[in-house]
Amino acid sequence: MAARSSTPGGMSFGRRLRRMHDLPWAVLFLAPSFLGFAVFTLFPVLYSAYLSFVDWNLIRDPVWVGFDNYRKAFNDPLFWKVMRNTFSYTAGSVPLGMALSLGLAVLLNRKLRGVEILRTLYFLPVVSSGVAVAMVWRWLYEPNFGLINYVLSLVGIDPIGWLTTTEWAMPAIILMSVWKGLGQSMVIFLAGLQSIPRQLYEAAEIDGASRWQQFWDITRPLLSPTTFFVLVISIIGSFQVFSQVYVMTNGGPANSTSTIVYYIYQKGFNEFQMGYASTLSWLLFAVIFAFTLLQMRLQRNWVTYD
Amino acid sequence: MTSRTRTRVIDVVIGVILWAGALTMLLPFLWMLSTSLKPLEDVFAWPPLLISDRPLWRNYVDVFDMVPLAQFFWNTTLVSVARTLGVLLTSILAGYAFARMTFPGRDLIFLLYLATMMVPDQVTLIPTFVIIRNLHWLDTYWALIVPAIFNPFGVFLMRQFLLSLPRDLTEAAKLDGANHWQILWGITMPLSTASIVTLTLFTLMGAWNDFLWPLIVINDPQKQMLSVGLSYFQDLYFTNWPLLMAASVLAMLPIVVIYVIAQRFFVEGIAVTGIKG
Amino acid sequence: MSTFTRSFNRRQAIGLGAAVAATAGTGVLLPRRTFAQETVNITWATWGGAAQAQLYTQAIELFHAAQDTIRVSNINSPDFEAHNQRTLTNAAGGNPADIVMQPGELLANYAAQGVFEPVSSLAANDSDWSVDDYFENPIGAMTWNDEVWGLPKDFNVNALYFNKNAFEEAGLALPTSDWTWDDLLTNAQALTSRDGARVERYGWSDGGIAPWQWVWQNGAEIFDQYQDPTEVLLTDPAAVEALTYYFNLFTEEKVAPSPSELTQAGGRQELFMAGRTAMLYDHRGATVPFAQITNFEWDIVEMAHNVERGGTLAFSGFCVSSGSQQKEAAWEFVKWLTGVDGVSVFVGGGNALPALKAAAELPELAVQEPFRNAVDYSRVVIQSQRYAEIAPIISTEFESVILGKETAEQAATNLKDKLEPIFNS
Repeated sequence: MAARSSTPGGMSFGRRLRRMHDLPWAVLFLAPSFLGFAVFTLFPVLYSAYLSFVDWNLIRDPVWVGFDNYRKAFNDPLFWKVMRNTFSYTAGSVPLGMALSLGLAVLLNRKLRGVEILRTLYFLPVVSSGVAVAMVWRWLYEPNFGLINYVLSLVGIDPIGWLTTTEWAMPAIILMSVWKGLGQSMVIFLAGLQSIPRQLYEAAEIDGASRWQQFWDITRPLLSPTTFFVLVISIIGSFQVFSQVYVMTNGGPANSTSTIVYYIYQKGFNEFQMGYASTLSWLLFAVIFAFTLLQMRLQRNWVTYD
Repeated sequence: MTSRTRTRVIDVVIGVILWAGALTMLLPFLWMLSTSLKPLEDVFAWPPLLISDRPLWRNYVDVFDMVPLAQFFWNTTLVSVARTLGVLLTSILAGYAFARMTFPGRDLIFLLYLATMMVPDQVTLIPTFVIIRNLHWLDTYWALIVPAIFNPFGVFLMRQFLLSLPRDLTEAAKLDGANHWQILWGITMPLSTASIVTLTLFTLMGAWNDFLWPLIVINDPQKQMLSVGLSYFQDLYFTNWPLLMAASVLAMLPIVVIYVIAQRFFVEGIAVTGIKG
Repeated sequence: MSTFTRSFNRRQAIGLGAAVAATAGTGVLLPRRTFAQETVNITWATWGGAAQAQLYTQAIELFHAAQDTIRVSNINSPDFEAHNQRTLTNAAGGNPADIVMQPGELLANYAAQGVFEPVSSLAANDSDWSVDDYFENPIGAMTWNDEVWGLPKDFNVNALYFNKNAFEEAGLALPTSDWTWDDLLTNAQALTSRDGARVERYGWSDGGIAPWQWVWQNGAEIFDQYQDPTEVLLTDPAAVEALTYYFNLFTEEKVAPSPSELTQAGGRQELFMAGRTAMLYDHRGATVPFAQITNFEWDIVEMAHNVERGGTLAFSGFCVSSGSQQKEAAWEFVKWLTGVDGVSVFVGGGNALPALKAAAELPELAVQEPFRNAVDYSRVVIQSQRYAEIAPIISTEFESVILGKETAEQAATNLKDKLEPIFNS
């Protein structure tokens, strides 16, 4: 990767020349993507930044209010609550999900009997109807008739109110989300594992390295760009979790599972406060962005690009 | 116990856990199948029935009468294929540029791509809608196809995958005088089948599950997409579970088939000659 | 207006003659203004699943057959959430649908923003139509700030559904319309069957956290007035008593499934159909899926009462957008939809009750007695332009009671403290 530090007094001409030498190619390759990106992705995002400074009920014209929305957010106890909920959700689901899906991908990357069936089975929840997944998990979590409490009762544990109590609702959502997302991250890891030359493993095998050593010395570093991808995408995704909450709990009980994007949705579409919703989105953006920048700084320590 | 036996035992234990886990993955699908064949009143009976004593196979026919399901399938197929072509073209080129080229502002622009993914869709919905309206694309396939092509996810994915390919090959080719276009299509792409297949799969899935955007931009039922179409089985006064599940099973199948086919491309890692181990 | 002068500047003689002949032939009287030959296209936004969508299509076909000038296209959303998103997005984008279906509670919110055209201005020159053609309650429900904002599509009231087999097995007499709260409780207790800590069947259920009608049944009031209230009256002893009785059904007596249990187990109607609740307090819409029940016999009876009878009124109506470019055509269609022909389409399935007096007399639209009787005492809870803001506050407060975190009395006090400032701001 090109070092971005500049020598005191500016770069030498040769260095500048080297940095620019791909420029015509870059323009050619990047143009199709960037032009569309600018219109359909970047512009709406920037427009929503403008919206964060207005009061808009979507029916009348927006009214400029400056930083009022931001002040309102800082004084909004519900905002802090949903941020806390979202943090809990991320802390609970990202490490667990990544570890499990990475493990799955490594285990299923070999030519075993039935490995294709296994890979398909683990992917099924990803494509199953969200409504069906929600129904099944609601039944699993049902206090009186659900499977989980039934199994627990066999070992003498009293029924737990998984989705009906404020203590257990978020863990319940985390568990379901991890379960549902396993297949998706697994597929990405599997694809990443493809770019590791087989010969490396074969040579290591001959040298007597154990499977764990092979994982640690070969897989881990060579997979790291993919791992970085999954990490960043998972964090961005989990900070923006919405549909599980929308379908399973509607933020309940008592806002214990309400996440920031769910709150944003409510404000924007149910409470006629699109301006405030945009403000909350940009506060969320700041948090995610900070996290991602942190990841990008830290990646020097563990991600190896060839 | 010899280390050989220990490895065998570990293998067996891992195998058991894997299969047990896989069976839990099957649960929602089983519920979908079983519900799709039941009459309405049996759906929530207790104890739960796996198969009702009068399985209603005709549910799978009835779904096509209740809503224009075939049309939804067609629309979604059209849109998802078009999206995939667009995504692949733009993301491969851009991903390669970010991964293998040097130019000023490269990392900054990439950060811009990443940053736009951090703002939730719910607030960019309205501005994007206004753009589409001003382009007179409301109620057209263009609205469904074009904006989705420029999702930064694809560019990010391709960049990471291309970065993880060994540089030696491309360096060698450069020394031989090959330009970026030749390297991309001659060397990098053949090694990237897995990532291309993955991106294709995710783009298809995205189109298949897209709900809020098609709802907002499409009013004409003849152009509507599958996810929105399925929600019509939830009626004003109650949900028609058996029909909803039958339609959902049908909706799942194409993606599962494509996934199974995609698996063919996932072998045990690339075989690359001429690289020191 | 200008439409009239415009039409007179075209080949009006032939147009006039043809139009008169056409209208005379179809027997539909059109006001003079729609003599223009060109067809008018209007959009009609509704919500409801596949079965409802078929009704809307049916209505449009009938309307097209009845006249030539107006062509309607239906924009149907799967549920109210989706409909709301479309309404808001279209409003933000500047192309609202000409006619918007609107549910009761949010009417005032939208009306206060100027989204709808009041009926009084639409019907200004309409001599053969009168607001008195409709029942008072549904029209009152569509009224806010002294204006009627749309015409009612239909409305709904609640009654008690019960599982006959369950009563007979338990050796209990079937419910009658004379039941009091005590009768309800004792029977619900007897019908709730448990297996250790698990409940196999609940005695009674309703559709969600809905304590309002119970407050009225105890002779108390919720607000000082239902339109833009200024005071919360839930802290009165009679109201607190009602709230306590209602919430105890879930928390203390445990004869009813909590709302989250209901959603988890599949829905209130589905549970009744599966025999897992013995009684259900619900509106007429339940009769449609219940017609498919074969495992047991069921019936409906007027709901129990305490001091007096009370019930909530649910309704939806059709409103014309103030931003519509085709208000006259839209008004024609709305009148037709809420007239005898339209009502027959919607209420013919037995989902709801007709709001049109003339339709209520038609034998084919006969309504079951418990619902008919409930019309007299069923009321609208609230019609306030602050509804969108207060709704989440109310539901969070009541959820805390169901979770056992506070008593009904505390919830009443909290609501008074939280809502009155909003009402009076």
